Amino acid sequence: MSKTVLIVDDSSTVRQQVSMALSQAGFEVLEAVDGLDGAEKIETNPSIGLVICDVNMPRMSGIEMLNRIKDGGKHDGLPIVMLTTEGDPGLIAAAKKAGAKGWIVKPFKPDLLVAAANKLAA
Amino acid sequence: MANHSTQAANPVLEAVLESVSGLLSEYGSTLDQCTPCSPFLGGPSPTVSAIVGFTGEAFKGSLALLAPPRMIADLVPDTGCDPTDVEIIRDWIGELANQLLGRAKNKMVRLGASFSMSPPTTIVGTNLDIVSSGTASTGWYRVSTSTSQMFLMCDFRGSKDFVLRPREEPDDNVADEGEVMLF
Repeated sequence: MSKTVLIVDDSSTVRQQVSMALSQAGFEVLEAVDGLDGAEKIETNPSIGLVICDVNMPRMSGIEMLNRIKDGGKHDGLPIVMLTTEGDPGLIAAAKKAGAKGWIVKPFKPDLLVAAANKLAA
Repeated sequence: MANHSTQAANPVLEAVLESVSGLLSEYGSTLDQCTPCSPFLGGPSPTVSAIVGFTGEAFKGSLALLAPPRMIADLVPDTGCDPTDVEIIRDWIGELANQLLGRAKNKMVRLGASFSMSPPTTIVGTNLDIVSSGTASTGWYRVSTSTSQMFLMCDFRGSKDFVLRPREEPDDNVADEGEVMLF
């Protein structure tokens, strides 16, 4: 599977933080500024092998993006990990039900993020 | 947070105040004091501000942070970008407000109350003035570190019969900051 990771977050600084950690670990990184941008990039970039996605974003939330991407089964094999400030078990269960493969609570620890990315993009 | 049923005046503010120290410490700063204050009145010096809204089953409100740009620049993580760039500062105060309210939400979820959060709205300028709803449950705080200070406003409007009824045992299933869960 490709080692290209799409980072979806409305904060440019968080995208930079995640990008820095993953680039140093050998991943190629693409960025999207919200769920809508993320969904469009997933549709047009078949090289993407992992998505790391915020939850609270303008235009389209991370959970909405997850539902849209997983609807129809076209991207069943694409792992999506949510990266958010929220630890609400109800939201985590909703993301899991929609097909998310992981949940990381901000602020993230770079080594744990890279370990999760290596495991899911292997 | 008090663990009993209460006609809480502003339970979100209470959870936010419990979360300030941990957030500052995460980004290399130390909370010196957090004290109630009068509403912030903008002056000629530049101020950067972020507002995040929240909505629960029987309440809604907003959290605002107002700070001198230099204070936020000092909290920007090292990503190789120029932390004094005004767009980076706006972005980061938005993320700080988001993370602060997220921490407060996690505390409230543990006790049985939840809410949805909006994405942050940010603004930078002089003579900024945050207009709250003017209810009795609007709290203003001055948050001081050893080098600077910012202002925090939390506005809370509960429905007439809103009562916070914390669960008897805190919910241990709430994920903690930094936690990684793979399914």
